[in-house]
Amino acid sequence: MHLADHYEAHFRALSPKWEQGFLEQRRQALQALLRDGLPSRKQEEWRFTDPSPIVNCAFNPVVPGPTRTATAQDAQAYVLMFVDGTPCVTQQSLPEGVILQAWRDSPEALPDSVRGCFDVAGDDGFMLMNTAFLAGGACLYVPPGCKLAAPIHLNYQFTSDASSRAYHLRNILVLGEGAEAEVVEHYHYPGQGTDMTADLCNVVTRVALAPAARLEHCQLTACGRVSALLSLQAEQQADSCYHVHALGAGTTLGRQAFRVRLCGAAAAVELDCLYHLNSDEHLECRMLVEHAVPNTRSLQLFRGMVGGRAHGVFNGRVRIQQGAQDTDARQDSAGLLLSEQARVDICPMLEIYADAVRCSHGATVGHLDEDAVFYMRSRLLSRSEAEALLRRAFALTVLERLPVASRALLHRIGWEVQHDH
Amino acid sequence: MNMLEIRGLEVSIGDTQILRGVDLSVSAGEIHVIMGPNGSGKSTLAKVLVGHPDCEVSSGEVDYAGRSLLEMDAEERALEGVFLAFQNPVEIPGVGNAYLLKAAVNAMRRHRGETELDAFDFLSMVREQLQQVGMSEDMLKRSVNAGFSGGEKKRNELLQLALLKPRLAILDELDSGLDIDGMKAVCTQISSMHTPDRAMLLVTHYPRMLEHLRVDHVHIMSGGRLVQSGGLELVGHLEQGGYETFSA
Repeated sequence: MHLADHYEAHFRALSPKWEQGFLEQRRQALQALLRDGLPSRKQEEWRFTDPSPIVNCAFNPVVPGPTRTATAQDAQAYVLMFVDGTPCVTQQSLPEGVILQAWRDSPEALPDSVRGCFDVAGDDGFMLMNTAFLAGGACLYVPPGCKLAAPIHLNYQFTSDASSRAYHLRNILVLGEGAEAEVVEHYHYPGQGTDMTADLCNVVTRVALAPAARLEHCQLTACGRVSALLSLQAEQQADSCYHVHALGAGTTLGRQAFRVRLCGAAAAVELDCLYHLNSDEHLECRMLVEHAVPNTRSLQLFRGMVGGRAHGVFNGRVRIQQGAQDTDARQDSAGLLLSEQARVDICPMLEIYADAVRCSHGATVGHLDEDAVFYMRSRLLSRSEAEALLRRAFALTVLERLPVASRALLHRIGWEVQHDH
Repeated sequence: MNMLEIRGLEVSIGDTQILRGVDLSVSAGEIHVIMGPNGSGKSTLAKVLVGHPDCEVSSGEVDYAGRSLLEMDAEERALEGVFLAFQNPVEIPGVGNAYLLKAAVNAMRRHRGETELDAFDFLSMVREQLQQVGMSEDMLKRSVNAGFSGGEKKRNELLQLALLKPRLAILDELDSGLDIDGMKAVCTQISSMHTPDRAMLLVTHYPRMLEHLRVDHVHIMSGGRLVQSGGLELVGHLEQGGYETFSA
């Protein structure tokens, strides 16, 4: 069966179960998808990541089951867990006005406070697919002035049953004026399976920060044999601070796209990304920061460790719009090659349409420092110990910037960025 | 039996032959000094003894405590007590100085069948040594040699020497770039470690340091060979006639 027929058939089968209010928007997205198709490597945006393994696979969109009750597992965090897309909710008392819940089917189900942030930018085929077959996701609202004492853990766990499932999820995180929160968004796929049976995890996370809001957002992906497309879109108002810590390990085919728009004066964003790839894995990290008004600040910090025959890509863009004077934008990217066949591509790009700005970018790719390895060997460390220390030192640039509570949470869930360490 | 026995050692770095047949015997309890003009091969000799990967041995043998040193890995040589204080210690940002020192000390203790030190015991042991080498405790918290001044790097090497207590200590210009206090610390450390079961091989440019040490042998290196060996009187000749008197 032709792939278009496959998705149309799925749509017909699912549509009676979906909420009517959102159905028309789904239908429009499907039509645009069938008309324009999914991306290919010929498109500039996909030059470094060949989407054909995803494009050519007939995925079966997953419809999550009704919310289940789960017992609390972490007393030091507010947890919202999903197993294969189905929410598992625990009884926990949130501060007054804070909303943390799963939603399904339609934005009609969303609380008023977050519904306005539902729509996504861009008409990429996978984004259209996300809208057409949207299953649900998590939403968080932190009211003005509220400072959350514990981190939020959005815990997505997946099992693998070799049925080429596709998860189209959307998370919405909204912080009111002066609100503060730490969020750990976490995707965990088992490491078994083969390419032929891999699932697709297609997630869009929307973030909106009101004036003076502060969000520390840790995004963990340990995706094993799965194709993972993670897209993050954020808007920030004046004086807001947003710090993303994207940590990735082990993804057959992964693409993480960050798109942040600084819309208010003195808004600041820092996008940190660290990943460690091995065997035949591929991960592309794309960042776009738009400085739309004067006096905003951004940092893109990328560290990629690549071994085996894996391929890592960093595509970092900064766009400074006309009139956005006094912008301070920095890019700092480095790739560490751990084998002869590993590959890292780094493409920093600055688009500047204002004339009084400070911009800098630095990019390096190299192997472990053999002089440092030898020095440590001469100080009684084995080669493998010395190399592990150097990998750790490389990762530390990103890891040492993790906020304390998130770092403790990562420790509790046994997260290790360097799995062979 | 000699602790170290070098016979006909020839070494190249890249396409350039540096050592052209070095012979040297060092016994436990002795201090040997190697002097020579820049580029004569002193540092290469120091490096090849600790197994630096840049050094390619084309000919010769090196026996250390009855074993063939050249067949041992760098870390194995270190475990067996061969230590080089580097002329230019490498900076390793992101690797904590204290972490590396503790890892090194505990690797040595494991190898000797001793119990490993925990953080508390390690720190009290290091504190003692820090004072002797004139280092502040802050330098333990920093990354290995990262941002250290030339003098601080040398003191850090001296600290490692004091902690690891090697059987064969090779000090490659450990005295260069040090102020008077630093020089004194080096001399004190060398003297205090001068025991009957330990040998030292010093590469230096500065005869003044030798006045404070009980040196057994002085060797002049030129053109990749040890062209003359003797006692401290060679240093006197050097100061009068320079290295030209000894050219290969």
